[in-house]
Amino acid sequence: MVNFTVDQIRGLMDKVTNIRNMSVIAHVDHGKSTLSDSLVAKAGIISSARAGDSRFMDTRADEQERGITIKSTAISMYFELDADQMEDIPDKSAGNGFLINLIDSPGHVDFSSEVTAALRVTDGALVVVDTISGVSVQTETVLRQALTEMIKPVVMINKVDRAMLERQLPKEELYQNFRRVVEDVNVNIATFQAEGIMGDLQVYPDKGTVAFGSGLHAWGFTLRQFAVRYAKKFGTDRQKLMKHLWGDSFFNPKTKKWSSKSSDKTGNYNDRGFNMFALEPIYRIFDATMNERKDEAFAMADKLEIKITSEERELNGKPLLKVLMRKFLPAAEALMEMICIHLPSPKIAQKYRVGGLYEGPLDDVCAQGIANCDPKGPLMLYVSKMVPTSDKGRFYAFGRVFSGTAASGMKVRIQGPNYRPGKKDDLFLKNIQRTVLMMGRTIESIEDCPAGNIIGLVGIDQYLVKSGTLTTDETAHNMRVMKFSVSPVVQVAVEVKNQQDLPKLIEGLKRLSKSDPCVLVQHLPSGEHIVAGAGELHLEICLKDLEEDHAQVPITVSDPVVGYRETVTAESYDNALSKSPNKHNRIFMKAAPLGEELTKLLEEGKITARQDEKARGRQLVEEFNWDPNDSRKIWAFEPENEPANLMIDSTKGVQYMNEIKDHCISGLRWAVSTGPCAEEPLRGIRFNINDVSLHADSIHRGAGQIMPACRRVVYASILMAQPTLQEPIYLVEVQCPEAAMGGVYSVLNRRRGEVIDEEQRPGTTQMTIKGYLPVNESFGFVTALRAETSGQAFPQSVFDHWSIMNGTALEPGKVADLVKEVRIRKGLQPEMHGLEHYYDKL
Amino acid sequence: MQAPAAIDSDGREVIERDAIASERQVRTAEEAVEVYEIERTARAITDGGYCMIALQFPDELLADSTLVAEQLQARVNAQIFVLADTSYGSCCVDEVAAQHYHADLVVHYGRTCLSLTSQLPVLYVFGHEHVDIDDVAKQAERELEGKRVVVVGDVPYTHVLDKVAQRIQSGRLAEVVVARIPAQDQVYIPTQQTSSNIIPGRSWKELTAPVREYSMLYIGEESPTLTNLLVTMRFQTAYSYQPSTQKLRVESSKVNRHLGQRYHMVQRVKDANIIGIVAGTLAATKYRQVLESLKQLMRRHGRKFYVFVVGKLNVAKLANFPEIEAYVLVACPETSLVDSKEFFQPVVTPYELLLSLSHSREWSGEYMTDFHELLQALDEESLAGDDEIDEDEPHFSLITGTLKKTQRYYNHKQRDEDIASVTGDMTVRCKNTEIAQYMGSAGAEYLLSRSFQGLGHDNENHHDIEPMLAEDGLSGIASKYSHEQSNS
Repeated sequence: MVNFTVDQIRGLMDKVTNIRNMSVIAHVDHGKSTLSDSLVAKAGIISSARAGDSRFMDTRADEQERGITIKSTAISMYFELDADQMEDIPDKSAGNGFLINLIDSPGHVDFSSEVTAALRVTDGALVVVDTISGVSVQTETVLRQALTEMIKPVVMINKVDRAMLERQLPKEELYQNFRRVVEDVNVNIATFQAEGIMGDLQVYPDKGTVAFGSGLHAWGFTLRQFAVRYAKKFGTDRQKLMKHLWGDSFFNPKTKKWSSKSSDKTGNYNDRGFNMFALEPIYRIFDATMNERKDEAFAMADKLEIKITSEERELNGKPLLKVLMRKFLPAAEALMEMICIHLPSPKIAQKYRVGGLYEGPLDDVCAQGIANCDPKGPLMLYVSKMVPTSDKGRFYAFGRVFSGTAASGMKVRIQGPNYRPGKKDDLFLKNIQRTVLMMGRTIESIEDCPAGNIIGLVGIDQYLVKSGTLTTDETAHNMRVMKFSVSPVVQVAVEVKNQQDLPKLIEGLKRLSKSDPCVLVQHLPSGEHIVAGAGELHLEICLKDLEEDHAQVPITVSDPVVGYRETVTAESYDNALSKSPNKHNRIFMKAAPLGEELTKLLEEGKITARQDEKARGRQLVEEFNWDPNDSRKIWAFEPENEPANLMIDSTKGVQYMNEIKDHCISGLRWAVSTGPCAEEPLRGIRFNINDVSLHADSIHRGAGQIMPACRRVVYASILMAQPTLQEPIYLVEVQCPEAAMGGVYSVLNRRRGEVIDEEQRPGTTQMTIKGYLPVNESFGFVTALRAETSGQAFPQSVFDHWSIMNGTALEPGKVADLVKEVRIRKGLQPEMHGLEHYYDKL
Repeated sequence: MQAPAAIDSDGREVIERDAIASERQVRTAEEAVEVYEIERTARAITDGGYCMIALQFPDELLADSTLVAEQLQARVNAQIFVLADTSYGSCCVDEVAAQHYHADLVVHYGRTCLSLTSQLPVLYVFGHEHVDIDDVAKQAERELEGKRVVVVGDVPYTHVLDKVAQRIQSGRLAEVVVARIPAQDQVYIPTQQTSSNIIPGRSWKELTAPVREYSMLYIGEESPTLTNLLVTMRFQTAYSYQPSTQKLRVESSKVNRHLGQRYHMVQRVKDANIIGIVAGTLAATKYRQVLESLKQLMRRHGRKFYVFVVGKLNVAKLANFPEIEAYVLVACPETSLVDSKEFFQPVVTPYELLLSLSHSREWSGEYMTDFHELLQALDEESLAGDDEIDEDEPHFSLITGTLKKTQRYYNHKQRDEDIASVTGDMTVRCKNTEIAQYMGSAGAEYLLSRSFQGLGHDNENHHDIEPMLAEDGLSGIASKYSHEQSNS
């Protein structure tokens, strides 16, 4: 039933102005996949009868089973607009055929990284919001992500059928409901919108950037459609009419005039334009069909020029309603129109996105290629994720061509995230074997792919871990690395049941790491294999994939555990001293807390080792009250890839310091991954080297002497500075009816959680509770919450911050117990080494 | 803090270092005669007609050495001297030191790994430690009921193994096999190759079932011997009996953990481009072949290697070469299993190196430390020929979570093409002569990445000075170099 061919699509790929790359984003269960299905039905990939319940975009068996989306899926579609629709497109287009590349994304927070990967390759987003539950935490999160990626949003208010059938909302209340949702969305857009470049991004129903409807019943409308209908009927101007169809614009049936008041002078009631012209016909069809007045319904259908087959006439109730509504207001029509008219083409979008996408200077050839979306420019392609192929262990590299043309057999430079221009790290020169179109469950081969399009590549998967830049230009910088809103904070240790399966597990772990943008796999020195994910659900899915697909060997999984960080809460009470193994060199060091704010800046990459030294120094002095001398003598940002600790040379007039710098950095690097307390990574510590005495003879102050000494003094200084642990904290949002609130509170309290905000959804008894919950206490939280509230509360948790635990690791108490627990788990001796183990007497 | 740069240089440190003294130092000559089996030793010397006898003591028994030497000298007509401060593990026979004095027999005291010597005859004196045989038998029968058992002992307990076996044989065990040490009683002479050594230095009668179906009963304290046995032999379950605490315990769970840790090392070595070979023995036979095979292996896989001789390993010595990313220790089976957690770079065994470099060989839970097996495996590997594998393809490192591309040294086939593409990338940035220094030299590459590169290159300021060619130095052993020999 495919009503377009690959050749047709290939033809369209060249007409950049007629391409729309968009993602569908929303909170979990707001109906993205179902809605996407109705679009796919329109483009003819599956038969339209099954639209609404087949979830075409959920390609995995477990997605279909659970009814949630886990992976984002892409599909290319073809759609033709009418002449009058063409008029409304703000920019020049080539013909009325449009190529729409749609990516359906998961709604559960645990899979947010998939959303990020989807957003990167698209220019527009269809934000789906449930009429009843409104803007939820994940709606906000994905909206924020979309706006930081400079993605233009349009909104679909979904599940209107439920509001009408289940809640029996009268027209005015439904309108108010819609208005609230639109306002909520706009508040969020106003908050997160990047300044200036993209103009007004807020959505307005009367401009046609908001659609209303039901994904399940496959109907939906924008005000534009009604305006067109009535404009024809009444012979008025469509643009003017549209204005009246939203907001405080009321129609006086007697005078046939519009007014801004809900009643006229005589006290007669004026009906709101939206209610009267948009909602009225819908309500009438609902009323007639659901109340068994089929004749009335068919009469209306006739009037609305809906053709009904004889079989359909036999239907009753909901199925009949579905047919009528789908024929009256096909959702795909409304959405496709909205997408084509209001979402930008790559040509438009890349002009303003280039600054956010490209790391290099904006005047080089690559940046120009991206800005102009030039198919003849140097190739710039960003691979945002890997999609498993049917061939075990191989992946399609999924990405977007931003400049140039990607072709089969082409030789490209594959630049990983650690590539720096002019260096050879993380760089490979390889051929693209094949380029393919990704179409839901199937793929189609295609010769080449010009700028502005989304594409799958075969044969480069082994040169990239998860994402990266492909280019043909030797001077090209990387495309900016994606920043995820979730962090892998929940981890488990996996083990094979049979030792000889170990290589298979390793291979499986590699594949798992590739297939998920967020999952972290690691092999610890203790011999454990760690899989870390954003949350329990994410981990569950990853482990299932690992066992069934990637490794295909039986594995055992430990209880989930949380990764901690080691930090200090005070400055070392005295200079720590460690001597080198030959006792001829001494390092004096103090550790001090770096401060949460500065640590965050380091982690976010706002303050980096590669920054201009002077600018960095100024910032540190001005914002963090650093000593100007210290600010210029930062020796090390460690760990290398995600710095969270600094080492500063505070010595004065010590000879040979430049000689031992490298050794000290290596010593620190050696120390930061395993702290002295529980061998967890260090975070938020500033190490000051206050004095050093070195042997006069260079052979006695070599790496072998300085490195171990530096490592020991780092440990000693920590132990002298009130060491403690930091634990990860989730931000949880729970939605529940008012009556279930007591249960939510008691579960949170029992788990060391705290409530930070509580809000009632206007017009409903639904409450939204926001709070902090230690990740360590979150295992089984969902189940406990369901049990306590008889299944009425739905939580969403996302990593928020690291929180310092009360107490120190040195005194008996909670932290010390925890340290012991972690040490035992890691197979270390239960007691941590005392200070004397690292501290040398003068 | 104003102390002069040379701290503690008066040698106090060395003097004050805790001497590792034996807890059970012998007091009288009679005791020594018994404990050190002087009579048996004397007999062996006389029977064999040896005249230069080297006595090798481990550090902890050195205190007794003079007493033993005196007693022995009184009984035989041969020159006797004591070898102290062995360069490597005291478990290996220090052949090189003994040869310096033209010894024709080495008497080795204390713990030993039973590695075979290449030239010198050796007489092992294990010593006799006391074991409560009744207790062993009682506990073993309870725990091992109905199982097939191999009884193994640490060397000081060898004398009781047979007795233990006899006691439990009559009990309720399915089968009892004793691991004997052929070199227990007589002088070991290198030319007489013992046929089938299943565990280094130990052998047992033929088993009726695969090793997997046997359990091991190990008598002795926790020692490298036990660790080595645990990782190399895949027994069904392993029990150890510690005579000092009189406890029988299951060791198997520890094995998996230990293997897991070793596997971590294998993963880290996979990431390493520059590998140091540490010669940790000069005694074990075939160590030279192993060394050569390892070099070949690394050459084939494009890894740069350096060979180090450092005597006993410690952190500072190995950390002196930060450009080395991993070390492989060629040593006797028991000392090569170094716990390198404290070391800056991982220290692995030759087998682990083979595992991490090989494309065809995979970790199967099997392990080998014996040089014979190892050489076989290395030979197989060299024949395997993995030319069809894409040399450029990076591997995914589980340690860093990133892709690692192997920097290939020693690859003549691709060299020319490589240089061309490399120089293309490089000339953009480098304006001086660095290209010439850069290519192909692992050391130079590392130097360039350092922030401190020494006090300046010779060619920076003194363009006129001709570089000197390296010259052949002295060869031979330090007490008498080869060119001196001809003079005398």
